[in-house]
Amino acid sequence: MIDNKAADKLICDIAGGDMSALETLYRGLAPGVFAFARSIVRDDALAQDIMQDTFVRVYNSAGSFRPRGLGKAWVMQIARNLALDALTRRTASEPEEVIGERPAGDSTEDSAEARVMIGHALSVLTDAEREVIVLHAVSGLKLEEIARITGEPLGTVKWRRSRAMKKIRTAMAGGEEAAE
Amino acid sequence: MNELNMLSSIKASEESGARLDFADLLSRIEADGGKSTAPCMMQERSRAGKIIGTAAGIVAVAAISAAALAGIGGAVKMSDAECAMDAAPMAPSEPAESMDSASEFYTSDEDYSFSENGSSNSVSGVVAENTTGSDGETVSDSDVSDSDVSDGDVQEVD
Repeated sequence: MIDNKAADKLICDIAGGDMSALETLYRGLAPGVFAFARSIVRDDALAQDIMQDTFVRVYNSAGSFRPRGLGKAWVMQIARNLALDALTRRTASEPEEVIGERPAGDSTEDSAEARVMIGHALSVLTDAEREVIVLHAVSGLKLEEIARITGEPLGTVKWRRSRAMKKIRTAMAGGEEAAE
Repeated sequence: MNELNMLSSIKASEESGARLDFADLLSRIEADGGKSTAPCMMQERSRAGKIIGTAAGIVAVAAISAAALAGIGGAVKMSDAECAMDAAPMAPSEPAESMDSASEFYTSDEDYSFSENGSSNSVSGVVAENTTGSDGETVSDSDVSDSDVSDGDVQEVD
């Protein structure tokens, strides 16, 4: 996984026109960006679009980036802004895909079953809790970085993470018991 | 399932839907066509800052050296002393960056006591306590007694 320092360097290289740096950053962070965007918009296609647009923004804004060891958080901040914009634009009439439901046949049955369980566990979280969990677990951001991105106090982020983990544990325990 | 496994499962599950398409990204970039041209502003500023800082340091050292030479003894000729004095005013005109770094030596407590005492002559609260200006020493109720300022005095002035 690309850490913040590596992300800083790659973004600086991108600012200098290095397309291989863009590809490295993209391959390293795009899955996390997708998961984060999806946790906000709850729509796979839209999240895919946001993922791509995030890296277009990264490429266009790399010149104004200030390397302070927060490169990954910077990328996630761009993704968050785009996702929130998309969420605002989306008309209320559009059906909202429930998180965890994905087209069948895109993976093995075992992982599909695990995903359903995870999806169910995540579905019990509030939007704010899901955001913290996805940024922490999927994007690998520290809680301090999440606090910076979301604009919430660190204590609030810690509390949300703790509460979310408790909910996930309960939901997954329920799912495992039901499977048995 | 422990917490680490749980987080790993979430990561694997949530990332699995992403379809990475770098060619599509490149075509979007090409269509967008609005690349920022200034590469890594902070890095450039940082280098510039280092240069300014180094230059300021050299000036400060030169000023201190000149001042020290001027103060070595009475054997220094007047013309030499004048040269040293010419160099000394360079210190206050150092860039803001080095002034900021110097201010880091003062603790917040010192700053607080400084402003509390209201003294403009000292930097730290310790010095400020020894200067006149505290309420108890200079202006007390006993100092301004009725005998000092009586109604009669005021009337006379009027």
